[in-house]
Amino acid sequence: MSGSGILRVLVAEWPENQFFNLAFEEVLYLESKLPTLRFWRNDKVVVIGRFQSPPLEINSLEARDLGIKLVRRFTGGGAVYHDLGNVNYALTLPNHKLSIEESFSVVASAVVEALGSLGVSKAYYRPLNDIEVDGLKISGMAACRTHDRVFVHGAMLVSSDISILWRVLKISREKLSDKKFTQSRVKRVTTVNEVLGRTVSPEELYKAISEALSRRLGLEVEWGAPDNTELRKALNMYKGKYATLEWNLKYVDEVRDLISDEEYEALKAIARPSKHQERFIEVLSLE
Amino acid sequence: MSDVLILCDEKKRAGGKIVKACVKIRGDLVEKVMISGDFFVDPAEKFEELLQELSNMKLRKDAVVTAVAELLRKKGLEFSGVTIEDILEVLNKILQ
Repeated sequence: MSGSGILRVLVAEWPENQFFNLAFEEVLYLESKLPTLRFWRNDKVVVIGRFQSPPLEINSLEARDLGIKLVRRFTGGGAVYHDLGNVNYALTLPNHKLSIEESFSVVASAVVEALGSLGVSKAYYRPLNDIEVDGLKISGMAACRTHDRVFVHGAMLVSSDISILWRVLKISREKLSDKKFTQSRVKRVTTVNEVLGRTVSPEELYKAISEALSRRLGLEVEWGAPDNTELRKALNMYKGKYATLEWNLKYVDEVRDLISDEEYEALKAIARPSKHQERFIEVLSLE
Repeated sequence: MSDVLILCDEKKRAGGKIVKACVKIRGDLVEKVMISGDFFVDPAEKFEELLQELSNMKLRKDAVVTAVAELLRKKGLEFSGVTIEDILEVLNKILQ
């Protein structure tokens, strides 16, 4: 596959404000003129898919008590738990017309190659959107597209606290009836550090994935940073969408009667920025 | 006044994704249908338009699945991970 010459790569993250991280993600999707690869991390948040209903996916009381936030992303797919041990990669390809399945396959093959270069020799792509090692999930992806671009992002478990994951995410009845799943909930996933038996730095991963994708796409890596226009648009996207209950708590009213008042209040508390996070945004706005 | 009932069910497509549906029933009428899950759908905005329409319907129980099927097909949606038939199967299970 050939592209337009350059793959713009940036490490752009605000782990302390998960809502802003997602706002910036969507700005890159909508506005990037070049193929763009972003690496970033979130601290302590459940990120749900665009078409999910929060009460059906998250243990809100547990999340509230653990100080974990909730944010909805603009791509479909399932609920994931992010902490600083999880690395996100996000690829925007303007002027591409791949289907969602095709885009998963392209990105997954590069990520599998990247993992191989780090010593994870048994990683493989499991359609629709997972990367596994020995039957254990190590990365999950989500995607969307418009008429003139595709976007894929993925979460890679590097050193995440998997025990927290199972406390805050609800496991559906249909998944529970899967025998393989019930054998050991904790062992349904693994991390890069666990597979390699050593600590892998985020930078090693960034280098490996960007090089693998540049080879796959026939593009040359060019490291960069967010520009002021992107940051300004991200702030607007944050204020108008990602910091709002209207966006994060969609599809709650329809099942409101299924949850207690305490759960409902917990959802409202975790699905919007805290005062501390709002102050962080004020500081960012002034820079 | 009739009691309100919210009924939900779900289906995981083998090797695919999960579709979850909930319906809000008042007496003989279905007032809301919600379709959610970890699938992908393109165009996302058209699916969200459809969900908006489904959240404000007043149909007899026996008319819902046909109405939802027609809406899903009319919108020209491309699902990944589940099919329209999976969605209708879950709704049928709920409304039987």
